[in-house]
Amino acid sequence: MKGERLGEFEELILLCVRKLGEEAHGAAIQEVLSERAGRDVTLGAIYAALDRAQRKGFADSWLGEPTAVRGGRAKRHYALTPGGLDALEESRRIRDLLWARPEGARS
Amino acid sequence: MRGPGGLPRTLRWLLARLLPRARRDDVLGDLEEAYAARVARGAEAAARRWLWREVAALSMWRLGMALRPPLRPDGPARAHDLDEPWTGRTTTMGRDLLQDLRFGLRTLARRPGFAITAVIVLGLGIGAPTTVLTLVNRIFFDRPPDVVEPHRLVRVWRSWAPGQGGGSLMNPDFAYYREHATRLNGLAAWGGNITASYTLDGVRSDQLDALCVSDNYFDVLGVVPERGRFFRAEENHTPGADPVAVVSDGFWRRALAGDPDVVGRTVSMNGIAFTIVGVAPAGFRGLSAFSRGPDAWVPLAMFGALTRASDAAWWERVPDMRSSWLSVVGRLAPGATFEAAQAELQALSDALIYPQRNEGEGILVSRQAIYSPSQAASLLSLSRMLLAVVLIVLAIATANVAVLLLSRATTRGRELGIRTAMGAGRGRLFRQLLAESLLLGAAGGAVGVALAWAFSDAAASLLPYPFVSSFAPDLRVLLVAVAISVLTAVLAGIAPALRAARTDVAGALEGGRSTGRRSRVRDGLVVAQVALSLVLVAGATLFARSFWSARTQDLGFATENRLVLQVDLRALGYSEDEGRTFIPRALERLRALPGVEGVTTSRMIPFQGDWSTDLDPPAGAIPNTDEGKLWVGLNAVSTDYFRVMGVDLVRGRPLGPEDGEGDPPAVVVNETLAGLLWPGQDAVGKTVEMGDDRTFTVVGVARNATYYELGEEPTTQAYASEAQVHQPLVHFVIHTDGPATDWIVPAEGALREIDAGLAFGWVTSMASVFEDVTARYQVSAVLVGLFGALALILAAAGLYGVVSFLVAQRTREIGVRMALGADRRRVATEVLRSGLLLAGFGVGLGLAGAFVLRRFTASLLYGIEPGDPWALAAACLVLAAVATLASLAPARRATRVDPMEAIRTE
Repeated sequence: MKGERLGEFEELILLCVRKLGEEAHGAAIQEVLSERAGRDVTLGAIYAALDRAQRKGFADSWLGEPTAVRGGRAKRHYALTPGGLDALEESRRIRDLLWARPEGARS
Repeated sequence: MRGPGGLPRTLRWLLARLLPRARRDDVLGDLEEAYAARVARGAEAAARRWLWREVAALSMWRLGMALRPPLRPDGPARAHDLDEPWTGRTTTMGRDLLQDLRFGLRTLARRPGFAITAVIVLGLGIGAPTTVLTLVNRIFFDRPPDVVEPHRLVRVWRSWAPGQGGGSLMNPDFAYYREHATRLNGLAAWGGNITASYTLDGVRSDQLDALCVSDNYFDVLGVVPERGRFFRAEENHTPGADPVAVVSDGFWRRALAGDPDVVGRTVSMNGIAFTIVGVAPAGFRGLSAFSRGPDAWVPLAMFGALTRASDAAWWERVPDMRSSWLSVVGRLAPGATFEAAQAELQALSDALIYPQRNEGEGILVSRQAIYSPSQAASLLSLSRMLLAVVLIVLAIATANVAVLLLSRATTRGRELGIRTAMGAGRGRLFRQLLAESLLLGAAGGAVGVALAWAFSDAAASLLPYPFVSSFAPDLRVLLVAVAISVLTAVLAGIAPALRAARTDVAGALEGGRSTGRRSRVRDGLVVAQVALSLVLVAGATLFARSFWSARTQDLGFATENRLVLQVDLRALGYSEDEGRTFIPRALERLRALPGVEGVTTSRMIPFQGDWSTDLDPPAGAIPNTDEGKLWVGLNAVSTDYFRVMGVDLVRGRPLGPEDGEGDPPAVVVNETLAGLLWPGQDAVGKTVEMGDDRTFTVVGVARNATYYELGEEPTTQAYASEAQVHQPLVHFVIHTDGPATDWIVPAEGALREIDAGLAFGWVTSMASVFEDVTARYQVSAVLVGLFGALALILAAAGLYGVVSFLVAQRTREIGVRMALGADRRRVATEVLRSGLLLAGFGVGLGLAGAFVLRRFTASLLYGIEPGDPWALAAACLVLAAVATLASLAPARRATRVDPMEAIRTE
């Protein structure tokens, strides 16, 4: 890890990438964000976040085969790099740590 | 669900341009997919709105991409990542450009000869319009120093026919308009530029230039005094009553040694003690662009006293030529438009009619603050012509560089082929080559601006008016120069870049050079250069011929070694009797000067206004006006006039001492007047009634001469004896045996021996009077000649370049043919012919162009037709000669091709 921190939005996107697995591409990420997180986000914003993640070494992408559904256009697939996965886990660990309360405290 | 055409076509096209190629497919795919999903949910209108939001977001993303460092080089390099070859394509736009420029610089540096040639050509091409724009900018947009808001100023001129004018106003007219014009926030006037001798502290000093101005002159111009104050309204009421003066900053520093207590000091001008009330700001010169401004300003009402006019009524005098002396300027009232002020002044003018003199006259209101209507018109037509000429030069330079770039793109075929094979996209190559031409354009622009900086003052000195301000390019001109440079670079670079981007990879790699196939574009560009330079050379020849015919035309009088001194006896306070005694004494003194061959006086000097009368034609005479009158130009001259002025007599005798005051009135008429008064008869001995019903006997007939303007129709002239028709305004004409201006000092000295206080109006040589008249033709000839020569050099260089290039490209073919025994001469002829063929096309096209453009030059020509066949033929000859020369060297080179060498190098 290069000591890069994840932004909140970036984290959301990377989580989507992880969740979608093989199917992680722009349109699918947008759909998941909209349905699961209730956030209407533009593709432009998603690409920008993915670019940033790639620059930091958290994600990777490659062009797939063209598919008929998309007017014969290829998909760019995204996947988490080990570094990306580490970053997500680190982020989760910190959150859990902060969520945990001292013994005996009431909710 | 919609198929491939789900997204609107324009949007797809737009995005395809917007997105980097590497992302085009997948981004459009995502968009297509998401859009289709939304449409499938049945909300098509919402989907469209969504789509536009997406496009906006994608644009922002793309912009961010361009501004940020590239993704790929920093990211992890994985094999599948290289889904397209490394060409720098996925780098950001800004970085692309920088890289292109850096690469371009390196490529250009590798061939400095090419780069230098291109930069020189572009520099000349851009320098020409920049120079002319500098002139035009200064001429029309220069603000007179210290004048507030010059664009709110309007000038009022006397007009003698609708739309025509430029004359001065009379005192009562000025007072009338000043009193009644409500749309103007003040109307000011000036007139009577007087050269006065001045005395400071009782010590006789030098001469100074004083200008008589209305009391509100400085207020209307918005000038603030540097010291003291300007004039008060009451200081301009009573003629001669208020000797107050404002001095210029220069005079204050020079003559008054910058005295801080200058206000209140006395300077005596022409014997009148003026109190200095203020100092004008440094640099203030009124509204003139042509003079540095006077040394002192005095109230208009002081004019009479200063010029010693004894006639107290001059201030109110109306129907007199001399009383029309005021230049008038007004400032628009707040909120008033020029049109409103113009309409008001016109209405006022219509209500102002003097029975004798003003009939048919009106006023001309102009928003041109500095120039008279005729000056503005002549500067405008000159500027237009020059702009057209330099645009042609620029076009030639552009075509020239385009040809250079095209040839280079061809020789760089191999390099470009390799880069294409390595995966460089066509767009990338196109941009690369365009970046190179932009670099050339920038360098050429810099050279051009430097040239304009260096030469605009010299160019300005060729103009027919003596401008005061210096002509350095300013920000406005620089911006235009930058725009011209970019445009030129793009225009010159586009054809070569397009062509290079179409490079055939296999062919380029295999042959290294393209074959001897000729480029139509290149040929076309050379033809265009030849055609355009023919237009300019033809123009230059026309202007040169026009200037020549203006200079060499027979004026009917002599101009060499003739000095003219104007003396206004009435302004000097002479009575008629005093004047009548002064003139013979003055002639005698002047005649006694060494080196003087003859002396006379003349009321009129050619090209300087008119004096005339309308006669009721006697029986048998031919009228020459629409009203059936006989219009006769008049002059009053002394003994020896015809000999001194070089006007020949065809019949009878000249006017002489026998035509004195008490002798029978005599007149000499010119051929035209004789022909109209007594057609087919001998005029000598005939009588004619003129002026105050005196009967004049014709004693001689003079040859026709030029009286008012170059190329005028033959017009009437009657010469009376000065002794019989005394005129208080006289011009002494002195025939000298050397350059006339050498006699100015002795002549003025001789006359001052008679009257120490004598002031001279206008002192000049006849030669310079004539030069002023022909200057406008000279300007066109010189400037167009210079630019024509420039165009010719560029076109010749272009032709030479193309023919040389053809020879270089065909070296192998020529070598083979020679090896097979081809005749050297035949090879040379072939090369020569290819050059001359291009030139021939160009000349033909240029002739057509010159023919089309001929009407634009008509107004600038004198004495020849714009379609003058001699000028066109000369231009064709010049171009043919230049084209032959330009093709000759490459043709000779072709004959020296060594067959063995040529075949081996390939």
